[in-house]
Amino acid sequence: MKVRAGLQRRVVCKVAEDVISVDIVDLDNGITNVLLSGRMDVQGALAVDKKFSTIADEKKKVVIDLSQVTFLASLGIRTLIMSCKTLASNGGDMVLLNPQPNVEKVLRTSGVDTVIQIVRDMNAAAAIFAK
Amino acid sequence: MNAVQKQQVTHPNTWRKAFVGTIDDISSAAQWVETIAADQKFPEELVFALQVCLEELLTNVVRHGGAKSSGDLSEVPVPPLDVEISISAGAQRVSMTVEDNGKPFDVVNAPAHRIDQPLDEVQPGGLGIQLIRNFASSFAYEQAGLGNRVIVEFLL
Repeated sequence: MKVRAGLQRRVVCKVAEDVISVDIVDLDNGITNVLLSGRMDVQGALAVDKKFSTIADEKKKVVIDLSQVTFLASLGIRTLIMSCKTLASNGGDMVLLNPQPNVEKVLRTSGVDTVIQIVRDMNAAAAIFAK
Repeated sequence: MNAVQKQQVTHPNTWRKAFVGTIDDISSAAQWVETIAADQKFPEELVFALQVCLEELLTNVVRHGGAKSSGDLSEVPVPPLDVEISISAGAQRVSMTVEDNGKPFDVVNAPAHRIDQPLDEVQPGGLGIQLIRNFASSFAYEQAGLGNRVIVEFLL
C-alpha cells in the first residue's frame, strides 16, 4: 500500500483465514484501507462476508486494496458489490486499488468497473472521495 | 511417478477425478487442477481461466444442483451431489469436462449478466456464467454421463 509521507495509520482489525486475510487500517484522512491477501473464491468470500458487512455499515470512504488478491470469482464480486451498495446507501463510497492483471480482467469482464472505480494509487482514491 | 500422473486414464494427457458437491471440494478440485497445470507447465493465463471456469461451474452445482436448492450456500444438498472432472491437454487446446448428478440445468443457455445498471439497481446473479463465456474459448452442455455434462475448451 502506498501512503503519503506523514499520514498516520491505525490498525483497526486483522482477520486471517486459510484462504484469505483482511487487514483494515483507518488513515488520518478519513479513508479506510482494506488490504485483502489471498483468494476471493467461494471460501474466501464466505470468510470475509461478515467483515465486509461491518465495514459497509461503519465506514464512509473505503479503499479495497486488491494488490495481494490472486483470484476473484463471482461470489467474491458479490461481496464487493453488496458492500458497495450498502456504503452508497449510507452516503459512502468504495474504490478498488491496484488489482493484479487477471483479477482486473474479471472485474472488467463482469462490469464491476462500471459501478466501482479501479485506481492505481491512494492519491487517485483520495481524489475520487474528494469529489 | 507423481500423484497426478497416477490419475491419468485412457489418454496420456487426460486426467480424471471424482469429487462431491461441497464447498470444501470446490477448493480441493481447484488444488487438483492447479497441480496438473503446474506439472504440465500450462501458461499462467490458461491456469487462471481454468480456475475461474471450474470455480463457477462447481459453485453452480453446489448452489443450484439439489432438487430443492434455493441458491443459498447454507443449503448444500445432503447427501452431496457427485461430481467428476476431467482435463485433457492437446497441442492446441485444453478441455475441461465437469459432470454432476444434480437436476438438469443447461448452463450454456442460462441467462448471463454483465453489470450494466446503476449501482443501486445491480442484483448480482448470472455473473459466473458471464465469466465462463469470457474466459473459455468454447462452452457446451449435454445431458450425459452423471446427468449434466459441461465441456469447456481453451485454445493455447
